[in-house]
Amino acid sequence: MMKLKHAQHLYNRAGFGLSLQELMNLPRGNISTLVSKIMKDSKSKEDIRRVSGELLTLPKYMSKEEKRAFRKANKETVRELNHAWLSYMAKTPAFFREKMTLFWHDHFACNLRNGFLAEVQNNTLRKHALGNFGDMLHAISQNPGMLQFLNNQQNKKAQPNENFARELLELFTLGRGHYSEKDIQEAARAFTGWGFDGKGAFVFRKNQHDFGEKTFMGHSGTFDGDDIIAIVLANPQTARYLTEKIYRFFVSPQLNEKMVSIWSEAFYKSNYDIAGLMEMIFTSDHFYTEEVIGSRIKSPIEYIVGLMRQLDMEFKEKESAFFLQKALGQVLFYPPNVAGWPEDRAWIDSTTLLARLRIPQALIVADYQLELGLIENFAGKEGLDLLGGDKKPIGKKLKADIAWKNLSSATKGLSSTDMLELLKTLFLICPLRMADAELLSFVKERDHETRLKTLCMRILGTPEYQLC
Amino acid sequence: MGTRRDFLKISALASGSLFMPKFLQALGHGGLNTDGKKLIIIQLSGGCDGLNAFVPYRNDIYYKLRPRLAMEEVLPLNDDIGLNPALKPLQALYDQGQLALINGVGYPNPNRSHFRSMDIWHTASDASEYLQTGWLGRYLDNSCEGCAAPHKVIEMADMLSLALKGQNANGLAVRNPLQMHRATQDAYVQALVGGGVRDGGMRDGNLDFLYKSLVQTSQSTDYIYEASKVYRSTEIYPPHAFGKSLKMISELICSGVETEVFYTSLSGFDTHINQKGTQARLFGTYSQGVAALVRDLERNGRMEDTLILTFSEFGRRVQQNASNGTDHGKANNLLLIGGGLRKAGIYNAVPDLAQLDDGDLPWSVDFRSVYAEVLDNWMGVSSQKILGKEFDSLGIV
Repeated sequence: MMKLKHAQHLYNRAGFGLSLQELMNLPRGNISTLVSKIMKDSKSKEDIRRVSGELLTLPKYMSKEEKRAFRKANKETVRELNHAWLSYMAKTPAFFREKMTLFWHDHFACNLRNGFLAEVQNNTLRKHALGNFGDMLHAISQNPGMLQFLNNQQNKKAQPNENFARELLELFTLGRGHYSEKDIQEAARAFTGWGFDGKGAFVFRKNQHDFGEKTFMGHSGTFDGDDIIAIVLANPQTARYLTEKIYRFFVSPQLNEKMVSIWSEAFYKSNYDIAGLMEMIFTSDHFYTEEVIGSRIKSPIEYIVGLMRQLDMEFKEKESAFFLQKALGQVLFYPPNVAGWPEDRAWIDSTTLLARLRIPQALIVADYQLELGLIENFAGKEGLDLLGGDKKPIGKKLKADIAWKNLSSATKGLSSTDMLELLKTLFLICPLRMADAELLSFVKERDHETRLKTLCMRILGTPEYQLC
Repeated sequence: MGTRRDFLKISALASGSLFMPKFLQALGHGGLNTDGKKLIIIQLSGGCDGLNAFVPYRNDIYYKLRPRLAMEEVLPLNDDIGLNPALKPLQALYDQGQLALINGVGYPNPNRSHFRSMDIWHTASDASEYLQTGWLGRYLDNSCEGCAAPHKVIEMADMLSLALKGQNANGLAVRNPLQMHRATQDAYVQALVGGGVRDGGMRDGNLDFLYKSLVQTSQSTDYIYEASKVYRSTEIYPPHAFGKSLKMISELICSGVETEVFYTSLSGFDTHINQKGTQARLFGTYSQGVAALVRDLERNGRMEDTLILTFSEFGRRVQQNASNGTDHGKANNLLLIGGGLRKAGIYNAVPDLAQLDDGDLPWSVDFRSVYAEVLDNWMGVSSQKILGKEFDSLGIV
């Protein structure tokens, strides 16, 4: 028999929290039965398709006004996409694939201002999210968004651009300290001529490629990009680096050296089978120890999608969802830089913590205005307004639809104390510090529906709810 | 409204409360650097064209590369550099030896993206390095045990910039003290704060971290709110969010807060088109605001202890573009204003316009040597600890 807490923990990490429906439909059996079910549910791969490829290139004959309109439309498509992905995360039974895609979105972080490029990249990551890391690395290295973001379009024999080569080694595979500046220069030469055409398809531009001999990490030859990728994958440090990052994201912010060693060796031996590594983690005893359960602070996306799933919630307008992401510091498709988002405690400062405590109220009580001043127009030139400055304050009424039906029928006829007990079990991974009596003193409502709403609002608006 | 003396007394009393956990006891000490050095950072967001602010008005290349954008009239500061007329209020500061101008400030391998370059300035990293903490956040991290209260480093904004985020401590973003105060005074939030205080937050798990952050937020917000009521400036500031920020900074300093660093920004400097008008408006706001701030501080005898650092994430191309604007460039000038400068005036010459770096001004002074000097000589902490390496001293601060 599996423990409810373990199932909850697994849903927190492999997905975005356990909903009431999922709780009621948990399979009989032990935790590995549940791991198998979650992995099976994520076998399917569904592309997100929102943006037309026509938006890729800026036609030369456009007037200034047309160009401006084109850029505006393009910017809007990234926001469309943002909403499409967020909503999909909240609904799909293949949530594990989405969680993994989110991990890779952070790992291969590109801040693309073009909806088409962003969508293509997102679908590439989703396709390989649970597959083979080598295949994914190869695909992402030829992905138009990546080629654009890290300037490989400008990487030419006569004037190599080292941007992609540097990040490939520093952020995508080996990590800092495991290569030399010379290795970067040689790798950059190997990737010369890798680019994409007007339709976003990969092209190898022979006349821009350096066919000369390179020496890279102790190997010499007339290497191209594929050879560099192969050498990097053959280095066990790549498996080590990835396993550490996966550990911090899926297991705990505090690395456990022993477990990381065991898992990274297995990952390497499996030739980078991502699903295999994840299954190993989720079925291990270590994953269910007290030091791991509830040890992470939810990222803003985990927090928002979690609320959507657990409250059966949809945003009536995409602006509300976008506003929340901004206010909490993580906007899908807008990573701060190629190193991705900071983690865990870095999500929390005075402003974001207060916001997290008050957001449930703003979502549940329709006319509660969340007073977080933020500029309204998000992506100015290069998203300038994110840089600070004279932000115009706006109060925000969040527009969200919550389907109370399920929670309501599950709590029908319960006393406040029993209702509190049930909701705590459902929403929290650790005990509440506040005593029941004190919390209940904030719940004055008599009728069932408003009592339920107030209780939810109070339990969700606690520091405990920030943990997963 | 209370007096400054009352406020200090209240702060001192508050810190003596017995129920307060240890990490809070340093909070609200009346005597903790209330009259110490203050640092104000002004960020000009968008990449300010410094070349049209402090103009090399006798340089032919300047006029040749900017046929429609060069400043025709300037207020000469010396034989080479003239002030953009919209910055006129700075002239008096220059004349009184309260202003230092450093030219050619940048960093190796400059990046022309707003985001990236701003991150580099905020984190004080190398161009090839990604840090997730800011230099002022690390300043907080390095304060004495228990002194790292959020209100020690504050930003006049709703959201906290990377510069103010540390590993273990963060600054406080506060645009509107009253609004923040109301949010933390909510009865339920206070009940949660109570739980945090009772527990003491002495363990180091994430739940304790969250409660500790909450208690600090409540205390620091309260502190700033109380301080903001003490002194009302009668000076006239530009009617703009930026002017309001400067006014609040001045009022806080004059009320005797223990806040050491104040951060604010003025945006709109990304002048790809029609630069002249936009810049004139922004420079007016900037310089009138700073002049009012300086008058306020002088009247209250605080100018000697205040240093104002103004920077932008990059300068702009020397050659104007086809839309009467300029595109993203590299090195820029940086301003230090204060009553206690060791060496005021123009620190170095404008970079040689005949020797450009791919059309841009080359850098000769690493911005981190300015940070280092401010940290070592003004804030009295070891810059090496905060910046990770040593930088040459400039001898200005």
